[in-house]
Amino acid sequence: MKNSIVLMMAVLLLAACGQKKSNNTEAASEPKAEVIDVAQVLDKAESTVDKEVVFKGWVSHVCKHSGRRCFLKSEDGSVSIRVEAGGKINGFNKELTGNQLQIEGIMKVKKLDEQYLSEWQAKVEAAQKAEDVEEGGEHCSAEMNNIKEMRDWMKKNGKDYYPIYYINGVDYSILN
Amino acid sequence: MNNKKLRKWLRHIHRDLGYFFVGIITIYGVSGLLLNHEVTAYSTTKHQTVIGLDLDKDELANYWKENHSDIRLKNVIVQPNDYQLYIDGGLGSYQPSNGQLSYETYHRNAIIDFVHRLHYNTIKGWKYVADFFALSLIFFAVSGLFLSKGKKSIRGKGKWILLAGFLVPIIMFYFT
Repeated sequence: MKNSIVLMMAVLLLAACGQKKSNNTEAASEPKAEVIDVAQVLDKAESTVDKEVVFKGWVSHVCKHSGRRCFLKSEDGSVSIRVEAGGKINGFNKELTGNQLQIEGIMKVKKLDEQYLSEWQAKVEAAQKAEDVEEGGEHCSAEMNNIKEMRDWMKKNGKDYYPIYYINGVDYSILN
Repeated sequence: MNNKKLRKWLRHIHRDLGYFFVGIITIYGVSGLLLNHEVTAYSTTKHQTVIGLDLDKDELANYWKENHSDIRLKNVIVQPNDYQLYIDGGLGSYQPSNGQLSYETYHRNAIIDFVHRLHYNTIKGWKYVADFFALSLIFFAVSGLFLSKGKKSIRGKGKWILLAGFLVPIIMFYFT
């Protein structure tokens, strides 16, 4: 069945040739001068939503299954930001942990509104009842604290949502 | 087209697609097994030791250079109660209060990484191959119903086996 073989190969070739060659190599692009840190990019996050940002940070975690995301910490370790693999980034190797990366990406925001927080709180409270108190108490307490802190922030800043900023990564290079 | 001719075509396409997808089916099968048992592409090596107390950042860096020169220490972030170590391919921490130094490094298994990345669809262009594969799997299922004749066909005992196959996921989803 030569025709079927030709058809299958054609499908593969279309898939391969229809895509730009992925750029998941290290040091793919030249590091730019005066690249800002994670802390600085988060400071101006609100004003840069849906805009391209370039920043650097230390890789503190890489998603172990698919490498679809990593977390970068600021130089002083006080804040971190999530970076999703996209654009030229196929995925993040876990061996990048501990390295300093320069990221090019688009700032995005997920807004957690009061309804979301209420539903989350309800789930946590339901889980607390269902789980063993000794084992589940600590975990649920940390989540409840998170929810409370988010509500306190919303009240303090006069917002009806809590923003979670993250980056849709386009490209990266290893600085250190 | 009569039944005989139809069955012949189904058998030929089923056969050729089957040959074509042996490799890909194996990839998804192996990856699925590994993922089901939480086997990732990375192994973690952990180290722990006790060194001097109250070392400052530079003293810690010197200690590291003299004793762990095989792993490059890239950055040390000083926190209130410990120092966070960023090393090449891993992370660590040092507690000045008790001299506890611990770190872990991650090592990639190339074969497991290969099958997982394909299964997770993190390779550019693979989406189209995976879609074609998914449609082919549906074709395998449907065409397989009509490959046999007589007592063992779908009109014979085949229908009971088919029913059992449908019941397993339904029972497990709704009753377990």
